[in-house]
Amino acid sequence: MTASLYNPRASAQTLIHTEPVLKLENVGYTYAHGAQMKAALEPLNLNIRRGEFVCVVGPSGSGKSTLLSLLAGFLEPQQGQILLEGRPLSGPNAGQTLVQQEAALFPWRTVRGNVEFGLEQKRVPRNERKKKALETLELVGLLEYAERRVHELSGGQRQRVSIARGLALEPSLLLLDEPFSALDVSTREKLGLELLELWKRTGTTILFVTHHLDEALKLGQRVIALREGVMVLEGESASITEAQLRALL
Amino acid sequence: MQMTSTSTKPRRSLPLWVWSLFSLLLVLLVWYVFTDVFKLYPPYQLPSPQMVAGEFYYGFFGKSPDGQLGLAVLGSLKRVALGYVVALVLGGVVGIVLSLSEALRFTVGSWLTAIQSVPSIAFVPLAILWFGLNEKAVYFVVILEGFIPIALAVSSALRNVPPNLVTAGRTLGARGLALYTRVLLPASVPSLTTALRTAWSFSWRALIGAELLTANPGLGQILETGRNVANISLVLVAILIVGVVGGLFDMLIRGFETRVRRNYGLEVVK
Repeated sequence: MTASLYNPRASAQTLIHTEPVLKLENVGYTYAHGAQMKAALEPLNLNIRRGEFVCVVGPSGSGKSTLLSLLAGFLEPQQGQILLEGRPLSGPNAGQTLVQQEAALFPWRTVRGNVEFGLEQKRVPRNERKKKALETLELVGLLEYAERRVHELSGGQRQRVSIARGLALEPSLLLLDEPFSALDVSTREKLGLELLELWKRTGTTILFVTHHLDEALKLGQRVIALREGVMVLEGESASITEAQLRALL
Repeated sequence: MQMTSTSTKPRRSLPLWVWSLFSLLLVLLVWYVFTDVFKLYPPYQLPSPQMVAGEFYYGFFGKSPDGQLGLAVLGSLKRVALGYVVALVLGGVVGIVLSLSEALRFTVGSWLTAIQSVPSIAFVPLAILWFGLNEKAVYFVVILEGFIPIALAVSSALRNVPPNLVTAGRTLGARGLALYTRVLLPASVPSLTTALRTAWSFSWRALIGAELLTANPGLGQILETGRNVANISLVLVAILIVGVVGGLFDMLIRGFETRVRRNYGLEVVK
């Protein structure tokens, strides 16, 4: 697939051959801003295939956060519908787990306790839960930190725990909201590569939101660019240049 | 060039408990000097440390009915323990309810804040009129004083939980009651430990005030007995016990608070 300036029909046609995990059908959202209404997200059609790594990029106010809140189930679309695994999305759910900008780990739990949290909500038996948590921690290279308190970890390690917490649930879609933005450049790059490795090993479908164009192109198989609530570009990252994105955004 | 020696060995300061002990001994010494050396006050106004120590020994180890201090301490501890636990449960429930509604916080929350500003002793006559001169009246005052700080703290702490923790809990599948028990309440614990201390302090003070007017064994009643028989040593002993017990429990809760804060990464282990 080649990069194209956004054309809903064209994008739908290009993905129609694969059954999507996530399907957005004419999804839009408008915020009330005083007496005025402001469209945070213009009606959007989008399919994300199973196992795909999609990056959403755009400047502040481009609608990235609104899109993510809609996908995480914290907002309900005011028009259109979102289908996850063919079913309409209904509220926050372990099926589409969100990793936030800040790790937001629970300080009253150990590292393992944090990873087990979602599994507890799913009523996974204790032994199974522990096994799964340890496996996931091993995956992110933090097995030896399993019984540590979260405040003993570095910023990068915390974010890895946060990702492990999401991965342990084996979600249909893992949503990452600028997860490395609070980290220094070298840690950000290192974690980006680790995330790619994790994705390859687990095959999890990932939607990664960032405002760093280089990060989006480096990590994503596919890149979606938003500007002022409108999808202005969508395509394979290999066929998009940073200059092209910069010109559009 | 001659170097001036600026490198000094770190001075080892004395442990804090040594300073506490030293200050206590200093107070006793000053007291002794006032009463036994300069004899500034007659013993019926300010008894000597030895007289108070004698009263203390007699109160704890003398023959019944004079060995009444032990019973009084136990009676007071029993009342405050029960009252405090009820206050915690009641305060927790009311706090959770308040956190759910702005209207309730504006009305009930404001009333509770107003009631909290009334000294506990002011409620004792009311409690006696309602419940009679008995244990119920004491419990009423203790629970009232203990539950208000807890209710207000729970309400405030729940509303101040960082939104990203709530978002994390929700995205990981916690909702409804589970969101409260697994995220909101645990996240509020550091704020609540401070309220535990406040509630303890209020309950303890309220208890002593209420016991002044009851006939059952208790430290407040000992104070009243000391006043009635003009035994100032007994009054001082009771005051000292009230202070020491209050301080010990405060220390205990403070220890718990420190541990919680360290576990949450809010305080560094020194």
